[in-house]
Amino acid sequence: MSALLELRNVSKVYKSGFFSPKVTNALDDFSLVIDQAKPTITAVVGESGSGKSTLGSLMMGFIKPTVGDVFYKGRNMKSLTGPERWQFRQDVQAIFQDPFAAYNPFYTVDHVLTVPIRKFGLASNREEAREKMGDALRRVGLRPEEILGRYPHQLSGGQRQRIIVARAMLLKPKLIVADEPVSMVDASLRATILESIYTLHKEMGVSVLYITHDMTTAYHVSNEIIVLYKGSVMEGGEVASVVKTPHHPYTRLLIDSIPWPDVSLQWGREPIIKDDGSSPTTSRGCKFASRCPHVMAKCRDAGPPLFAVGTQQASACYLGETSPALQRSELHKVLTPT
Amino acid sequence: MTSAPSTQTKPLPILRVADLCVDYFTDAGRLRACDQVSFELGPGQRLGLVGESGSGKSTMALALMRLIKPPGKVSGRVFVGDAELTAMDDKAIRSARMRLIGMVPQAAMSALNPVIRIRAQIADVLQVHEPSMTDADVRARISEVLEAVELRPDVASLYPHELSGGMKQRVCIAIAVALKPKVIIADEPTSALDVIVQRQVMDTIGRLQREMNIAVILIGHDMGLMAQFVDRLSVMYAGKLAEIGPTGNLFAAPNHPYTHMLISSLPTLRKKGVFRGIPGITPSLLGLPSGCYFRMRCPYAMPICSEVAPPQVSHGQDHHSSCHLANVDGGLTSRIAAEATSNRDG
Repeated sequence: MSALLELRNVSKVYKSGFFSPKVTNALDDFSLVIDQAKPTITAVVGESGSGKSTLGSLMMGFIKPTVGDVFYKGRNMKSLTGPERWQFRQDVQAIFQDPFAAYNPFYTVDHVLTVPIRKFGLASNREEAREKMGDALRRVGLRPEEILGRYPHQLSGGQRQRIIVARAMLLKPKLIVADEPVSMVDASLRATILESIYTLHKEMGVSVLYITHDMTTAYHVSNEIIVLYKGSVMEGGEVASVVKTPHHPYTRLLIDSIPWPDVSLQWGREPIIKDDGSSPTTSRGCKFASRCPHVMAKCRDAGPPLFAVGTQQASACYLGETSPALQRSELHKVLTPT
Repeated sequence: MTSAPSTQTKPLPILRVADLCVDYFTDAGRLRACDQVSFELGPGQRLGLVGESGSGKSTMALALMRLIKPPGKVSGRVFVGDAELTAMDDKAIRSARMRLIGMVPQAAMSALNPVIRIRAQIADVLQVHEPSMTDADVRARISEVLEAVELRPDVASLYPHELSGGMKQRVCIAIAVALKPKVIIADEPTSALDVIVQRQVMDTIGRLQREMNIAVILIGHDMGLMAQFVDRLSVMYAGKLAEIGPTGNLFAAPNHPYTHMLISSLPTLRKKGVFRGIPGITPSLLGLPSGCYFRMRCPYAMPICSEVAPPQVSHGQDHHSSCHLANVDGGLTSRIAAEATSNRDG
């Protein structure tokens, strides 16, 4: 298989403070492969501080890993040539959380569409550019005549976010990194935006890295899911197996805390144990130990490896130690069906 | 809403809202952000209020607190117990706020003053409302309310930036309950929090509601959270109450197409990969259509919908909706069933 983007044992450490630096392991020994041939939607789920946005920034090349390497089409990101970097910028597109901050209020919304067309030379003349813009907008379910020429404040949050999706599509990318694309949009409009992302994935064969804290939408759009907690992978695998039969205690707690829109499904069967700060913060022990109802002595000494608890599910928990162990770098084996 | 004659067993409502309207006068004309909203809330009840952004739910909350500033104009009546908030002068309403009706603001992150310690922010509420309290009383009360929201008392000496999002939200709840109000309005208290913290914060609000017998109005757009938390649910659309009733009834048999579409637009575990958004957008309050405001987006719209605004119809058990389908044989339920059958066949 040929990897479009590969993260190999990547860690990102932030230090703050000069004399006694406070070290934050934002992402810890993380590996992921985005396949070029088989487009998928991968959800990365975690609470704030889990490192999910750090992961997104690493994949878009905004930040460099502290340890490990990121490869784009087999070439190390550190040594890309100018044209390769340019190609990377076109292949990997971003959709961010805030549909308000993505626009310059002084320009009409056309601006976010015309700039990439000009920069990447996608159209040879004005008519062609206009046609491409209209086409991209129609693909995300917007009517160009209602959108073009308007200012951002004249459109709803949902419309603005869909224009950003249209912008990303204009460049015919191979991968879209969507960092919380619907968390600031009304619940009733979320479905429409996710639907347009999903349709584009289906029709144009684009891979999507869907970063979210919302397990329900992750379940609906994605094929595979990775659960992060404090920078480490807790569980990963095919989305239905993980959501319906979660193995890791953290995943179980997450899924139990989802407020399902169903009065017969009560939330809150799993107790929430408060973090008393006694979990090991380095990569040595399990980071969920202090909040885990099943914690054992060895959890604090050495972090569990991934155990393949199902054919398409791996969990970093000693509760699954009867299953075969996997290297952290072998996570993609349970993600992509063979 | 003409309430059903209260039976002997039913406690008197703690909050009564009658024909509450909020009008803004703008250069482009009059804009009614809250349109003849009426409802009642019993002591210790949990009422949910859902609607899209711009549907008027936050405006209504501000109107209940009498916090609408000119050029906004409020009409209608709001009672907490026997006290009529809408009839009070400025001095009286200042003392009634927080004491009778408290509020947990939408953005807890920015509701706290960043340069003042938590202690002073809670003390502020206490000292203004109860000037007779000694410093020792105030200190004791601060520890008490912080413990009530499951925070350590030493949080009082911290600044807001030293707290996590969930902790800041708890401080806001502590301020809201510091004077033991009868009613609390929580305006999207957990919209910025992740699910586990959200559950913890909602557990705290629920426990306070039970222990202090506070009535809670939970504003939000997350139907899932509503299903888990509130006893009664109201749905607002373009400033009007589209439907109000017991949560279970609303989910099992919605009587307004908007409620039905809100519920079915949500992802559930049962059907994966089905996206059902609500097509169209909320109408501008400056150019509202004639008749029913929802008719442009309603799949079941009838000729009458564009002519007459639907009156509020009772479906028994405190369940009311404003939709013409209530007068059609079978109502909304049969339409939904018919639609489901044709989808299956087609």
